[in-house]
Amino acid sequence: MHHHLDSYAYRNGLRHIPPEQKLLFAIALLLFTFFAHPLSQGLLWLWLSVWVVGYARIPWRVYAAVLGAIALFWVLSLPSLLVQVAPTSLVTTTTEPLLGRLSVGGWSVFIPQAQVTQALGVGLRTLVASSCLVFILFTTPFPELLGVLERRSVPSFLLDILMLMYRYIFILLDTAVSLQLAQRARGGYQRRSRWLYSLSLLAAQLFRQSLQRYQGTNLALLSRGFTGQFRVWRSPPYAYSQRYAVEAGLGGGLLLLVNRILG
Amino acid sequence: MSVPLLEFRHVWFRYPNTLTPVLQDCSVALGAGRKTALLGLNGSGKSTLFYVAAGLYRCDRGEVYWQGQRLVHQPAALRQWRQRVGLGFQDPEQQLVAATVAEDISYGLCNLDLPTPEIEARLEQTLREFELLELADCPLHHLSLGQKRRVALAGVMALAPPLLLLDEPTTYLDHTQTEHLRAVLDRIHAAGTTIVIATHDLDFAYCWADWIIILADGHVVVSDCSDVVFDQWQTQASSQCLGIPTLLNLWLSLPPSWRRQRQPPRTVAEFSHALGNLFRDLLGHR
Repeated sequence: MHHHLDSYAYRNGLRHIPPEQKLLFAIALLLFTFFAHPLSQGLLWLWLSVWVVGYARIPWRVYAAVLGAIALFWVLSLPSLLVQVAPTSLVTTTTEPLLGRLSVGGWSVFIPQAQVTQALGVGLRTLVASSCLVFILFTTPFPELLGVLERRSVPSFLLDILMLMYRYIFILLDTAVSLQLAQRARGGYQRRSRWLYSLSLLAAQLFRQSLQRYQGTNLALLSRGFTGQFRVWRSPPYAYSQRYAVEAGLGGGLLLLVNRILG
Repeated sequence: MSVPLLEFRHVWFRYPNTLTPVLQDCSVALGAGRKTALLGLNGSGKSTLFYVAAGLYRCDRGEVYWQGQRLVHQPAALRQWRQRVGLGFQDPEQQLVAATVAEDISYGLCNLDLPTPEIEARLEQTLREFELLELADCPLHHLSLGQKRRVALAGVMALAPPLLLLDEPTTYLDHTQTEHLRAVLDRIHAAGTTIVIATHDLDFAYCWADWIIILADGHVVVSDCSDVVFDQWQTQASSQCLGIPTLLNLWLSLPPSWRRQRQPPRTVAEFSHALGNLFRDLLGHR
């Protein structure tokens, strides 16, 4: 899955748009979600989905799967958002409309209607804000985001570390998958008692291999003339798109107008 | 006699916290323009010899020379040294450090502080030579192992080192990829690069190399022309544990009277040609 997500960043319909343009667009929309009316947020999500699925040509199933995974966190947090506990004497005197109530002993567990509205609001905001992030993840390769930071004078040592982390996270994931396959081939993870033991072995092996990888990388960097700074040539395949800029401007203006009308 | 390109003189090397030195009084000279295969069992010191040659490890005793000039472990000297000695690691994954193919190949060029137009020109030339133009923008973790091997080699060759050291380049490669690698190495060699490969693949070494070095217990026991080495392969104690190349084995299984005054064939084509000549001779006698 991680490889697929990364593939889309390199092969999508908006790949040629400068990362600065995409970042500016996503950040502006993200800021808008913080104060926008729920209906404006809904419209914004629909419009952003057109960008992701329509213009960037990301399969809608993939887009939905990623948003679904993010929504899972919201679902998991629902009990703490909705359910409240208070002494029954206090609950019976409240005028606030309740959706349900369960009393045990002198205590009541209940769901106030206002909390439902709030939870839905949080859910919608989460969905829209996540869509802004997903838009960037699907349309801009990570190294290009680092390029933007580099042009904004972020310290190079920090970018070097991020770059190497990006490179080795995939190697580490592949190594973990291979190790887990090898364990399964020899009966690992089959019994509950051995599950945790297999997992601990996997973690230990990953750690050992990471250290070996670190030493190997050091040698490789030195053999290729490392001078203390990680420098590579980056191709500039970008083309500023007036058509997308105009649509982003008009759409943004329209959303602001709708939001103003809705109050 | 000409000065060797690279020479090890009585080199000793021991890894920290170990008792036995990996290289023990190792002396060998690598001549310019050769295709050398470095053979030896696991743990014989092949990779360590390469790391010392590339200036990555500093030997405990002994010296390393480039055309008579001694290796000095100082930053400026090492930088110059590593432009001469290109090293390809056994695991290409270890060698690839950037995000995309083009970025990784450009890494060594950027370290040379070359002007951008020259970096771009050399990058494009390398991508073209290694048939990687279409993959230039591809992230490295999307490549197959064979492609990664090609990118790793391209990254080294972009710097145009006069000496190329490759550690087990045929490991994990299938037959087609190995054949492709052989063609690439032949092209690099034809362009004037001296190549040394450390390998367990005796068949590859037999077909490809014109010079053989055998390393055992950290020192060089054989360093000679491949014709001579393979001619005496069965009688040399040092080569016994390495096995025997398939083609040579096949050739030696023929009756001795059939092999009279004939050099062992080094490729399948040579073998079939030799067999053709043999049958022609036999039929002619009748």
